[in-house]
Amino acid sequence: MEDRKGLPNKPGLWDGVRVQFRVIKGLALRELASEFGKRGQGLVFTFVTPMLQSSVIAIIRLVAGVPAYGGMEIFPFMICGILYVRAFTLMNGYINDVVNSNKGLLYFYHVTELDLYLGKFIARLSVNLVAGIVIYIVMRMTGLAPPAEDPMYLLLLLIAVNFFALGYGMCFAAIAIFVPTLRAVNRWINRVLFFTSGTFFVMPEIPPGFREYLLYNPLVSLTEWTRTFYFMQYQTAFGSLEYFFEWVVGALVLGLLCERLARGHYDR
Amino acid sequence: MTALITLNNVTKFYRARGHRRYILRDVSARMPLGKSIGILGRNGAGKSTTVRLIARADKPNKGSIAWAPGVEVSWPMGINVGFLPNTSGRDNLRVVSRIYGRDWRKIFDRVEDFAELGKYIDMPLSTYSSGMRSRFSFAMSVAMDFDCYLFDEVMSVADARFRMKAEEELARLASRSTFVFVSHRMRTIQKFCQCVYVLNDSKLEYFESVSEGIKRYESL
Repeated sequence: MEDRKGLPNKPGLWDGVRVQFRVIKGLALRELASEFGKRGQGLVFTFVTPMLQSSVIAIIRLVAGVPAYGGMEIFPFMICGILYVRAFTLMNGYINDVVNSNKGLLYFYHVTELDLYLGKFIARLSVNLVAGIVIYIVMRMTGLAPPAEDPMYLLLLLIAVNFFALGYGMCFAAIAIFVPTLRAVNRWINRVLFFTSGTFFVMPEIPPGFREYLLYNPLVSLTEWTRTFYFMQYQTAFGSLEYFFEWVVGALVLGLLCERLARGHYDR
Repeated sequence: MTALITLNNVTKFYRARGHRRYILRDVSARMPLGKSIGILGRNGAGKSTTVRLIARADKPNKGSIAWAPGVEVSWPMGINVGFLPNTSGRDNLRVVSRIYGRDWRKIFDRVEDFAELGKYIDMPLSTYSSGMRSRFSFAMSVAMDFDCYLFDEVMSVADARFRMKAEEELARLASRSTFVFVSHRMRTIQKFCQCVYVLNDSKLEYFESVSEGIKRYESL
């Protein structure tokens, strides 16, 4: 019969961790398979979409006679905004929907809502990292971009923004179990965060009166610092990395707390 | 009596229009190890919920449920539960096998052979008829090795040929595993169970004799 591993007579903490790893790995692989299909066309779109979006905005800016601020190359300038903010909005959206679209799996006692979140998170994080690296290589090979000043910090920020989206998404997803209209509210907040995130501009281009309000958006600090880490000629005077990481940690703590309080309340 | 599954003061209720509808109320039971168990009750008594609680797919509002150490219990096999409807049979099989730490290729071979779904194995479960779903669900579970299998009316919609095949498989599994059956088919209960619980009025009544249990159920 089947070569099952069986359960130990006295399961310890390590056994639980082992099972949890197995479950999360299974869910992450399923997420990757369902997202990208058998032919991997989804994977191609993951690279192509941010490049297309960046190209369109870059062309509009060039045609309008508004090149990137301070002599930054327009294409990597746009990528530094779109890639990161898109990672946030997409991850947040996926985290919000993941329990609903995998409800059937909660029937298996090993699977908790947290596993579904983490499975999706790991799948999306890997995709976002690969997308970031591929886009960078393409930009360099085509001569569209100079080499990044601090690639490791750029990678770190990409990981951090995914964690931010995980925490933020878990908060909303957990509370939305009790207040379903929150899903729609989240979509609107997402849009506001996106358009005020500095994806299309840097802070010195914004009138001081608006600037102080925009700086409350943690994604502004993120985009300011991605450009600082990418371009030698840009050093932000506005965004604060501390402020952004406070949001990351705060969202994660609050998200995990909300998830724990809401666990088991999902209509199975 | 060594218990396979122990229920300690378990209460389970659902809220409906501001009222609590009790499925189980302060129920304690020690389901015996090494015996297959039938759970009987009228429609709506809460048999499926009870099986879900036993499988830990649902949580009691009060009390606790424990399995004997080292025992692995299957998920409750029903017709409309536990799988992803918009995902193909193959992908469902893959994810469930991985969750349970089994080699999905081996499971796939067994399910393909046993359920006889043909090309439907690569189509979304939502396109399956209820008979096909029950075949898939049954084949999936028996392809994996468990100490105890939970069946929730899974064979009620299968055709006669598949039922016969399934009963042969159950007879084979009975030599090394036990079952918890929810079924309205008394023949199945008589054939495979060594004791019976009757669920009535949010209480579980234990019968060591299957025929006594069936008599009690028929008197409800």
